[in-house]
Amino acid sequence: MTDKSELAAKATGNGLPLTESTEVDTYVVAPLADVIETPEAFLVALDMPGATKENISVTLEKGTLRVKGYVEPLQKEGATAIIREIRATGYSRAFTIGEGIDRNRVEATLADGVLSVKLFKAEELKPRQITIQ
Amino acid sequence: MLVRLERMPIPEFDGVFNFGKEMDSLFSDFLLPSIVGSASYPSLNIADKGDEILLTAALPGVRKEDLKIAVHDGVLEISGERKATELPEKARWIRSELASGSFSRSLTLPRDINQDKLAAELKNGILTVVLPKREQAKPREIAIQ
Repeated sequence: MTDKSELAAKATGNGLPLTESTEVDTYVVAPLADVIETPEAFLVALDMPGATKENISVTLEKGTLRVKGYVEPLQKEGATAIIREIRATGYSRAFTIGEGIDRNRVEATLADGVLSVKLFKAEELKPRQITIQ
Repeated sequence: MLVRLERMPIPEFDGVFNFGKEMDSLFSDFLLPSIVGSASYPSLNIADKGDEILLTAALPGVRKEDLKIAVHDGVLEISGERKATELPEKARWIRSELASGSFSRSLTLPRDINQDKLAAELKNGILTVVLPKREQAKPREIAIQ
């Protein structure tokens, strides 16, 4: 075994990442998204190919909807890359949401590499028909 | 050949936008030029595993029944269609970055690929095609006498 502490010291001295792994390249991209407003809800759809249900997190905190995802490496061990156009190793995007979202009613589904998040509007934001007296 | 319909992509990667109070101001973004229209679609990774070539393509939003993989005269063609999202009744677009439409990308296969034994799988928006090499093309260890 190589002396890891020595190696680490060298790496930090050069300002390089403190790792021996060859898989140091993380490439987090902001996934493209559609947002649709219906009378009842906001629908957000995000392209996140390669991310599984287990590797995606959707959080709603202080008026921010944050979506994160991790992609399992597409290249298998011992394989030589010939073409590498798909580079995302992770996804991250945040949306600032205004008032009027029912924080207890947020639904998320994943299908064909597309994450769909449905944010229901709070009662006061829904359109209301006013009866004429 | 590539036929791809674009729906107002937005060159914005700070990853944060407002919807809710500031929704209407977002429409000004839609006038900016397309940034994704020129690249080949779908994006591919190709790797050589020694005994086989592994091809992966990013195809989010494409269903299995809308995807076609064909080999003809040593050319592998991946074609299909990504269906556009239909706007529900009384709904409106706030942001529309996901492209839809039909696509096609062709690749000339190396001669040492066994074209009769291709296997394909579509999972989580990623298409994987395994292209096995012919027996004689596989790397072989030569025993020293």
